[in-house]
Amino acid sequence: MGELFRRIYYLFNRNRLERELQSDIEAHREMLEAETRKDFGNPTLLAEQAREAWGWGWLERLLQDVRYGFRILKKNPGFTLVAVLALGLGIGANTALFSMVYGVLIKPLPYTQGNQLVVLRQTFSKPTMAGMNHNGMANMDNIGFSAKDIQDYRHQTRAFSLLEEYHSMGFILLDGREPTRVTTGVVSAHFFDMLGIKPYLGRLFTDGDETKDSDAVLVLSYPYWKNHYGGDPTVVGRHFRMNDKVHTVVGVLPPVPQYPRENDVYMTTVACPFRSSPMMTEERDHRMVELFGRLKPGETLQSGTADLGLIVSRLEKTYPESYPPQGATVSMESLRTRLTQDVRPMLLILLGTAGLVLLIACANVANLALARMMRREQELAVRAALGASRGRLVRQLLTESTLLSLGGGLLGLFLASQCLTLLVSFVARFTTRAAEVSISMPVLLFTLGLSLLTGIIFGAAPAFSQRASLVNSLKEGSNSATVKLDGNRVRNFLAVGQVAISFILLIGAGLMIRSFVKLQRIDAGYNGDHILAANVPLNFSKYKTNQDNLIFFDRLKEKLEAAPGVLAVAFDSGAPLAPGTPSHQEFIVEGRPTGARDAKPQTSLEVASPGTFRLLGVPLLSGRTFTDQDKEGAPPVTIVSRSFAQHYFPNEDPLNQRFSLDKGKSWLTVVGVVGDVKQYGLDRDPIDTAYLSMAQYSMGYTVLVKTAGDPMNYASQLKAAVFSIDKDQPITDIKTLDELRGDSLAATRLTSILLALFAALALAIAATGLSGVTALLVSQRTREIGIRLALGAQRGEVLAMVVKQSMRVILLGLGVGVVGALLASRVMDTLLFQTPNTDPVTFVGVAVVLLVVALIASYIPARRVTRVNPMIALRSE
Amino acid sequence: MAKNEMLPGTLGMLVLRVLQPGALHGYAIAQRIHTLSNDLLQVEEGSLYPALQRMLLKGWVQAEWGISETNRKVRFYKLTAAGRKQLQSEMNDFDRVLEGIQAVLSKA
Repeated sequence: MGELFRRIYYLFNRNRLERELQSDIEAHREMLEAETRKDFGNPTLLAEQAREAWGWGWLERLLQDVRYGFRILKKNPGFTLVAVLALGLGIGANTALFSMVYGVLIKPLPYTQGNQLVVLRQTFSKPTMAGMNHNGMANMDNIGFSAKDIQDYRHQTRAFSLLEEYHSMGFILLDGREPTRVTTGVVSAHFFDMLGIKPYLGRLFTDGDETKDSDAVLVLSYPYWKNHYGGDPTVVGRHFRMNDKVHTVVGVLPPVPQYPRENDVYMTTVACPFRSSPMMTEERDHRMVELFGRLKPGETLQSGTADLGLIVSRLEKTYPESYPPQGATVSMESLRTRLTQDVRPMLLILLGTAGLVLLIACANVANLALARMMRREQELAVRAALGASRGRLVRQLLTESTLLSLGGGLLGLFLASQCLTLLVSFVARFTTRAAEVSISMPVLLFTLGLSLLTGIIFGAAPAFSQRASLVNSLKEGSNSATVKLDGNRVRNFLAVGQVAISFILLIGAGLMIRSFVKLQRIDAGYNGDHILAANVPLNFSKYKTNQDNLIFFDRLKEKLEAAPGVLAVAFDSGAPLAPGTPSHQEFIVEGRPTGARDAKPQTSLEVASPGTFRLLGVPLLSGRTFTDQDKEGAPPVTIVSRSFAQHYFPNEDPLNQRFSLDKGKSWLTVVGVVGDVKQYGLDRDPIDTAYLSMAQYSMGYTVLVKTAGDPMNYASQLKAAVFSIDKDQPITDIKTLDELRGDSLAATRLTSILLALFAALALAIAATGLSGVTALLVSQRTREIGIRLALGAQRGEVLAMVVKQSMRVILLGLGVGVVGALLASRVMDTLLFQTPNTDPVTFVGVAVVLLVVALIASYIPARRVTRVNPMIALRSE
Repeated sequence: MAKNEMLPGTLGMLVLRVLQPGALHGYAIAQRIHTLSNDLLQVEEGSLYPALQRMLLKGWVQAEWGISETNRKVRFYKLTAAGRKQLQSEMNDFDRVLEGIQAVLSKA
């Protein structure tokens, strides 16, 4: 039996052992007194000293403090409630945001050595005339990799153990039930090996699945398997039809998050009809797939980048025609960074905001506690007089504040768990890692640590402000009117801090809201009123030529236009502001020869039908729009966007100019110029766009229907029309253009709402804080005010005097806040749209709001001075 | 050396030593030390009981219920095997220290 074990035994049996020790000492005293009549010390104290040897004294004192703390808090339910509520809100906000930050930004990827996983980007340097985005950065989009590129990389790399490709496409899967459109990850054989994923059922891909004559095989994602096959294990080995081929299911993925995005099923590159086409496999210039790599152990991002840089420069020499003259760059970033970079600044700003809210809550509770301390000074003095050491009193006060903050922590945990689902769906807009967010052990530890820290922070003020002059406190009467300047200084400091932090938070929210309003008001270049949009991804194994497509869509248009309430029907390659990215198609302008080594201009391509521009309300600036005559066989025509025309034909009439997308094999004649449309994001600058006639160029189809009434009412008609033409044809993403526009702003809107919520919370807490400070001031000065009134001061003057004093606090706080906000708002730059972080409108507006709220908050308690009865005030001593 | 002072660190050893012949209760321990030292040493209750608690925790002594001479139910403290070993080593240490001190005192 070791010493530690005995100590613990003593802890649990301490009541019995205490009695035994007491009886030992009692017996000792009896015997001693019987024999010698000698004086014996205080037996209780003796026993206490002896018990110290057990080593549990601290625990007993702690329990004592806790019990006493509970009693005190129970006796002041108002204070306790306010404090727990304020701290709970503050800690809850922090817990919720930290669980986001932890799950998304901190937690390692749930894959074997996830830090060795990287995403590669290939960028081609572009001529300077290419667009700059609003951040002032050159528009350097990842152009992807070609099969030939990857082959060479794999052969030559020294830094990577695996380099695996990925792209995602939508296919129609026929499993004998209704046809479903499945998002399909098309990957190379060792993609899952690279991630380090083991199959949940069956097997994943092997080299044998990626040869020319391999049978097409499929791996299902866990959620797709659960939702569509009810988790039936016999699905392995079943045959599905996709793209007119039999695909055999060979395995199911485990329930891990899928990167770079969630897919329903996975196939190897040879099963994908596009990826396996000779154009893709043989032509180095057909770069379209994403490339991922696993660095060998010991290799870093730098050494990996150097390795690939070497390979690319070799390839540039070998295949000069496949690379631009200014050169290509292959860069990489860790998969984790890539998955979270969009959400990182916002999450960190929100976490910082939540931290500030908690700080205000702390200051507020500290102020409340300070005020309460004044009333407790007597109690503390009595305890000190009875022998409590100063350290013991400080510990007692800190125990009380920690009890409060732990209560707040519990409440915060509850609040956080309640709003977690909402937050996850918010973050899911930015990163697939959102699914990994939960209230996990580290989050719980964070909350516990934060609660303890909070308790110490706001407990420190009252605990250390208590003066050593306890004797004075004992002497003072219970209605002491002595103004304790020290206490007031701390309280005023805390109040100034609250005002300042509230101001900073209000500025953050104000800037965000300003930018949101600006985005909302921005002219997107089209009129989305009463327009329904839907994707109709034609099954290309059934609709083999563009002619087949056109027949289908002609019939669809006919059917829809016959329906009552449908005003117009048109088609384009993608609805404005639907999720997507612009393409970067190289072209050459007729009469402007570019050498093989010269940079070629680039444009985004869209397809439109006759009537598309009219339906969308896109203004025709010159020339004409498409007509039914712009069909297959007729001279190929194009309509360009305003920015395209300005970029490439700045000093000439763009009409009747010609350019070629296929290195001069065929030429498109510009027949019209239309206004710029914010196709890919309201915050993006106009993108050079060339529109092609739907009848002359085939590329993804979106149906646009202009309706008389609420467009959503026509959704079922739209579906019925599609099914009546082809019952196996899926129709997806049915949304109104207004909805799409709203969705594209959802992130900004939600960020604004969250920031505004935090700021409002902060303002409310700070306002109650100010009220408290003023109320205390008034009660402290009751006697002085009584004298003033007795000597003939006007009540208005006295009121003004009190308000003026709180005004000083408010103005000081405002001043500090302005400086703080100017410094802090810089971090918001990336989130703002056309709003400088020093936006004067926001600053002035926020200052006015804060002043008004603060004045009201201090005026209400200040009014009490007008009700002071001089006689009562003077007698109150 | 004043009558009731004790060389620091030696109380434990003395307690263990007086317990060597047999179990004693607290008062008896103090008495034994007092008597055996020819009334030179006085054990303070304030040091004896914390020392006994420490020795209980260390496992050098065990407490057993017994009846005192005054017919009262009290705990008798009994040396354990570990206590015997501790006593031996403390006595050895003490002898060495004493030897050293005496050597210095006689030669200097």
